[in-house]
Amino acid sequence: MTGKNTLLFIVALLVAGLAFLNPSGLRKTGDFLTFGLSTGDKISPEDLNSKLAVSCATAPEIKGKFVAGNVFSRYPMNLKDQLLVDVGSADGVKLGGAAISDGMLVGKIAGVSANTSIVQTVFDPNFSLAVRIGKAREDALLKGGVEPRLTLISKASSLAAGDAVYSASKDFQYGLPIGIIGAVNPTTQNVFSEAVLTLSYSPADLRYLFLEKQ
Amino acid sequence: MPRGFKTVIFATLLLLGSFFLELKQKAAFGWSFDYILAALLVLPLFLDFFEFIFFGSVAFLLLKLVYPWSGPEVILLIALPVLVFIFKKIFPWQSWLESFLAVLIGVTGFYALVNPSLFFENTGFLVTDLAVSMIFGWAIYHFLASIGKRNK
Repeated sequence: MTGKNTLLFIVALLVAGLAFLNPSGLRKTGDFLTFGLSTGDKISPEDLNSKLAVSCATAPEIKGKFVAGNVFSRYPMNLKDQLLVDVGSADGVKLGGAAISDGMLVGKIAGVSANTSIVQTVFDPNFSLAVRIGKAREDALLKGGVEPRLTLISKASSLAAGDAVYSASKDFQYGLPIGIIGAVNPTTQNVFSEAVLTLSYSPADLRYLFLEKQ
Repeated sequence: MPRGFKTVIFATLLLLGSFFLELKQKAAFGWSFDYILAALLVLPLFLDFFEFIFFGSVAFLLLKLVYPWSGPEVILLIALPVLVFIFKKIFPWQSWLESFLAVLIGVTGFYALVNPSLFFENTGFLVTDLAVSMIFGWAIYHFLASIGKRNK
């Protein structure tokens, strides 16, 4: 083995060893290396709880049912749109429960481990959710994606752009707001109409989430 | 600086650059082309065994830092460059086409194994993604090839 190869091998062992360190020890390096995809500084538990308290004040029905956590990381590939949050089963997080941010439903809890949870957001291509729209309570199916869509809207419905969209799935609390409806597209080929879901936030803005507790 | 160090250093920097491009684009738009996958498929074509061990350990650390999930895609992301490296050692064929072939087969195989439904549900995006990833792979291939020539 030449000197160059020995040096490369030793450095490779050191680098590989770093990968097995406690993730929290590498948090700052990880934040730097994710070039903005990760969320930077952790929000303190006190600040998170005060944000949760503000949300509970405006929506009392969620009081005591959610726990606040920092968004730790975001799935970097196109296959999924998932967020890793730094609270888990030890904090009482419920698998399959709702994830909300500032009162808006942003996804469902797809995985829970002791100290972390995975949230499948509405931007995930495999996300789907039964929803209702507007005061007329028209049924629709929300299909996730880079541009989430509202599908299976009855052509007889009288919806207008700007009507509120809220959850109607048995898995979540009824009526959690999700966004507003964009322009309805009554296609001639399909039996149902479709519309774009307009959200008040961008996925990159999500720095903390409130996850449903058991 | 010896040739080998130069190649492995530039390969590592190009890998970091691909992380930068993909994660910045994902943060800005919510989607991204597969720059990391393209880099992981093309860069091992230039490395010898010890350089590849070093490159692989850096890639593993970077993936672990930005991708703390577990799942089949993580194993594939680590396995694909190993397969490229082994394939290159068995068939030491050299052509300007090899970067295109590596990215075409690697990215198509990756999605076919991890989520084949994407081929039907998101065909337009996948074709664009393949085209852009192949061009990116071709660009880094020629950059590293030119480094090698300059050091002969």
